[in-house]
Amino acid sequence: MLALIAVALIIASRFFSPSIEPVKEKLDGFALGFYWITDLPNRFSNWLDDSLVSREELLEENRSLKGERLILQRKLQQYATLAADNARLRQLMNSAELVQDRVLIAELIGVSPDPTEQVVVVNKGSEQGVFVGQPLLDAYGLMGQVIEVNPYFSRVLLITDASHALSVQINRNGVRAVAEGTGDLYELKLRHVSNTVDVKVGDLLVSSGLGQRFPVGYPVADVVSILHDPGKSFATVIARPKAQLNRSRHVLLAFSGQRNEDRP
Amino acid sequence: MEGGKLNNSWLIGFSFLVALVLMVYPLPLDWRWLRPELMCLLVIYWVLRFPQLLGVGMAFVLGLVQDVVQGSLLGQHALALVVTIYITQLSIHRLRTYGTIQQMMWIFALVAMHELFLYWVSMLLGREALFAYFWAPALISAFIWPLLSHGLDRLCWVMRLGV
Repeated sequence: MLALIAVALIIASRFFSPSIEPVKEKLDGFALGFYWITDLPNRFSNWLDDSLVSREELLEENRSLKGERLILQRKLQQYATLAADNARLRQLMNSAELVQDRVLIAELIGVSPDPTEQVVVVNKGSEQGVFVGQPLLDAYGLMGQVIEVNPYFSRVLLITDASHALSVQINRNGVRAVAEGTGDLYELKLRHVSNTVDVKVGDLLVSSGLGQRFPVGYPVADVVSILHDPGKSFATVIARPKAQLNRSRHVLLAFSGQRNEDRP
Repeated sequence: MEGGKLNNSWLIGFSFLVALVLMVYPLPLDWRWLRPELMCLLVIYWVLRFPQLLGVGMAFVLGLVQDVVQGSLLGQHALALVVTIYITQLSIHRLRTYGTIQQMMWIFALVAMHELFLYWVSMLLGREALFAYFWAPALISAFIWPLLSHGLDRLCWVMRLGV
């Protein structure tokens, strides 16, 4: 019996070698079946929502969507001129142009059962061109990055996981910092922010693009509290993620411009 | 008893499948602490009921399957289940004579140990273990246990599952 325990340990350590990757990929296909089953109630309720809507509700929804589209179009008009302006200014300064990101729409199909890690499963995999390290977004901000790819689904580490950190900058003045997860779903912590840095409650943190992982300029978090403790050399800055990590079902996988060049 | 065949042995396998589905059923990220360790409870139950059929080997295989399905480190649940089932087997006679409350307390201890092994492995991976809550699934499991064992007793009786 103890021998079996030893075997279990050996397998655990063997995991680090890449030789069992293909086996694991096959096994993961088996795991996909379970995620498919657990997703059924969700899909069923979506289907019900879609097919059991009254005419008035549809009309109402249509109207509100049209209104929303009008507002967004107006914003877009401004955006076009701003983007053109920005490009011109960047040309004047001889700096690199901002590249438009291509995105892939994905759906959340599972959540890791282990409560100590914050990992979710999305329904797009290497067949659709997903790669390890790819950023995941929702409509409100950055959610996380892909850590494991299978042919038909992939696992994503959320930015609030205790083992995750990303480089951000304050949108107001461009001060750079590193935001690390705390394991709490509603909290990010800024590392090594000295007491003299200009940071205020309510500041928007956006991804800075340093570290070459995340594209520049996506909203990450709002600063919610700053604590200056004279006994410590750094201030304690807590931020709340913009992305709705607990609620979003429809998410986006971004292909940033630089990556596209490597991948024909 | 030796070499006896079960009438409806597929039921056991089916119960494991159901448990696996429930183990990966997506809960809100904040509420995952409240998920009982169904797989662990089920294996303990079947080992108590048919000790001649299920043992540590089976626990090992089931643990591996759980690892694959949950996407955890291969061997993590296998190790935890093997240790838990080994101790269950050592205390099998005692556990069978216990009343409900005593059984619940014993189950709490067993599942808590199962959790402890899971955390040890994930700590080896360098993941920060949130230790304050690790007993929560064990507590929930202990409360689920009377329901589960009586329900399955009933089911076995109805399906004439036995040797």
